[in-house]
Amino acid sequence: MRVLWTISIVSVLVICLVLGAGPGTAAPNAIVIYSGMDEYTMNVLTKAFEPMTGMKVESLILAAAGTMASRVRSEASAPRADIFLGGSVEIHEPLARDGLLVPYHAPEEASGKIPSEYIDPRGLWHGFYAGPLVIIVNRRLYEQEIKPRGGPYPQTWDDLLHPAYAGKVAAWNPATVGGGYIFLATQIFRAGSEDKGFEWLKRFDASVRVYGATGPSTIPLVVRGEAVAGVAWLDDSAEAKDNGQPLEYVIPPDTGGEIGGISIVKGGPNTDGAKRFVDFVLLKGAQDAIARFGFKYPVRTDVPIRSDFPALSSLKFVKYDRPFALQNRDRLTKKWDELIGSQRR
Amino acid sequence: MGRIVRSVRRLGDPVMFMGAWGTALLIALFVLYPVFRVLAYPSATDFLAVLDHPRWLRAIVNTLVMTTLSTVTACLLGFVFALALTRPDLPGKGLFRTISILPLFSPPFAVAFSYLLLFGRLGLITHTVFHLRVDILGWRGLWLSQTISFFPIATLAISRVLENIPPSIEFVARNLGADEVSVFRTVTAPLARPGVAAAMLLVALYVLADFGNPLVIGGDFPILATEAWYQIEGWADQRAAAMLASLLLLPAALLFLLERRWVGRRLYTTILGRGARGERGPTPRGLRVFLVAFCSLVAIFVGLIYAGIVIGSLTRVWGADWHPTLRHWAEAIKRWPHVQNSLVVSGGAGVMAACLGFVTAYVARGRAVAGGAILGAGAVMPAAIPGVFLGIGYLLAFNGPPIPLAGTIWILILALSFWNLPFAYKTTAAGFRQIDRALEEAASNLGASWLRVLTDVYLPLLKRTAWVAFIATFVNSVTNLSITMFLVTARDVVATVSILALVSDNRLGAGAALTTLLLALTFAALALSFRWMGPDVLVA
Repeated sequence: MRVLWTISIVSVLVICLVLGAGPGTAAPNAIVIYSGMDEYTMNVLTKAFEPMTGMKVESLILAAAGTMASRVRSEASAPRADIFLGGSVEIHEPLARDGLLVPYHAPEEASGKIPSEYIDPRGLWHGFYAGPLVIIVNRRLYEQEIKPRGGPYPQTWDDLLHPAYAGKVAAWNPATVGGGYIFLATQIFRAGSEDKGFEWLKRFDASVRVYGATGPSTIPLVVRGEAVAGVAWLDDSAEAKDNGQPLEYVIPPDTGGEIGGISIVKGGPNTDGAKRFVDFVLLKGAQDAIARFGFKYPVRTDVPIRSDFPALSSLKFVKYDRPFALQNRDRLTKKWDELIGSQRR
Repeated sequence: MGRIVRSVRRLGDPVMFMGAWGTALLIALFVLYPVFRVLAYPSATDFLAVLDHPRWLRAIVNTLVMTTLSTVTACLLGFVFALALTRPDLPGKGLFRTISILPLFSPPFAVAFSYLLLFGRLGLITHTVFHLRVDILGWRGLWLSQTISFFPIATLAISRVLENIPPSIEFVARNLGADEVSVFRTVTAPLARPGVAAAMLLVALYVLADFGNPLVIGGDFPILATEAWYQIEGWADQRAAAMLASLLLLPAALLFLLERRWVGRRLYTTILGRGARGERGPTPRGLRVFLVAFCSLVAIFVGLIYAGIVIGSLTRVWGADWHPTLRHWAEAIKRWPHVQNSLVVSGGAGVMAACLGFVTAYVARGRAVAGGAILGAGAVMPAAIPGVFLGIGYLLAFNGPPIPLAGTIWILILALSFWNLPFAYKTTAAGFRQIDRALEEAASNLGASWLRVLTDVYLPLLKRTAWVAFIATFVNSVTNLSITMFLVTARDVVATVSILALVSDNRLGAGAALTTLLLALTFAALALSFRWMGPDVLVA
């Protein structure tokens, strides 16, 4: 009979708990943020925003912007987040197209301090940082395996085509990683035409050891010596280097880049608070924190960049046709898979 | 005639009837409904898009191949371990038991990174010790890591059945002149069949939906479960993700039918009411040497993998800078509340899964009620659902009225308990199948109510089985990421989500420390339960 008692007690407990736990509602003066940005920078921003506005910030921080976007989409019937922050605007755009975001024009966007490429004319997303694609290198392995065979230390994308790099580069799969597609499009724009771009990608394929399937996957592969060089984002690479990981990075000329986006979720619990947060993120102080602690380029022209980064004006970005890239994504990734991805091994 | 009378009597038993319908309703609501929501998400044309994407077609083939390979090896490994663990006279059994459950505790990333560290191109073992250049990224590495990850499930399922085979049967066979090989072939193996079948089904379903191993080890080897996640993480393309994940349901259903055919309608009753157990005789020398040697090898391998994680948490840069440091641990301790959330959520899920599994198995056993088989099928279904799929399904289904669970901790508990129901149900049902119905009938004839039969006959005999269900669910939930990352809120972040955040930030050392902390705690919980339930709890 003791067992029976245990069962009854457990079931009563379970029922009580189920009934007791209503849907969690945020405090009235709070905003909920789904953040794809790193935790440290988020904490700095939160600590500045809370005393400034008297609002509380509840953030779910997961450096997995696509997953966050999926949550926003799945919750559309009763949104729980006010702000979706981080990840390239390519991730925000589909949400914008499906009417899941609130249009808003922040005062700072009209101040003339933010170049127009970071501003969505509809006001559905707001560019709040920029970051280029970089080449990451494991110096020790380079000295051991590439240099003796006459390979150059990679300064440009083309350096990675040298035969010494054959099978030694970690890249991204454009079909699975947003950054991988930006890389693919970058090469097309760099080559000047789609055909020439694919020709380059085919030659590059000989150097590739593995096409990583997730964004952060290339850095550990290079750090741990599975590959000598790789493709990565500047912010991730600079942060890893800052943490003492044996990694070097080079920003090659004619590189492509991401525009980090922030957007307001339609129907969220506190849309007014969300607007204040967007205003805040574009302020000088917040931009400074994002640049300094987040290892990113600020979008404001009047905010200094990190001293260890080259000036944005000295970087030569490829002429990146974002609308073309967005429209042709499915076609180009499929073409890549047919020509390159499925031909491997 | 007798059958009709019996089923009428069953139907007439209101509690039994309500139990059946209650369970059916719960399964419909918390398994079928979310699945339906995801299936209804993509349109028919989205499904046709598969034919147009060679990568996805490859993913389908790869998924089937990997499922076959890894299931066979994991079950073989699991069978050998089960044999070893059910022998009373094997040296080092305690160690082997620990090793045979350790891989169940594999929070995402850490184990896979440990493989890279030890067996990668510059791996400590492969390169530094053996001067080999191996390529672990890809299907071979995946095969290895999946075999190691999932053999504990097979061990658990098979050893429980082996343990319940009365030694007297084997003894009788030996007395009748059978040698060891034919005893094994004609007695042990056939009687272990429901266990082996359950193990194969479970392992296959886990491999099918596995996502942690291919993510790190798979390199660019496309399989369906990860491909679905890439569509979400890389492109926020939920339609493609839902469609790819849906494709997993088909082979899963097929597996289930296969298992039914194989175990089928035979009788596997070995717990008789007549006390014919007896002692297990000594293990033959040859078998003993083989078992000890084999298990030791596996033990060394598994031990290395986990030592790699601990070392990673104590050195500056995992695999690159070996200077000792405690700063990763400082980082991990700061995340203690996340660990606490993990324990609460997983404990809740464990209790719920064990209860649900028991009730479902009781109601669905034999021909107790019409449609029991369907109920059983429903209870096993979640195993075929990849975590990512279930996570999204719960979010779609329970975000608003009529059941607004999103944003509470309950959505996590429910999702995890129903996701683990297959193991809880399968182990309990296999347990029920071994108990002679005559026991129940005898009790009934003596006037015991169904409740009395349940508490005085079945519960004492299946107490340990229920405990196994609890522990397995608990461990599985503590280490789950694929579901939790869609259902946690800012206020109840669990440890695995925290680990993902660290790994995405490339802070692998802190990730390893948090993983070690989580491992230590779950292991401590297990050790406590050993004290409480006796050391044989996981094999009995």
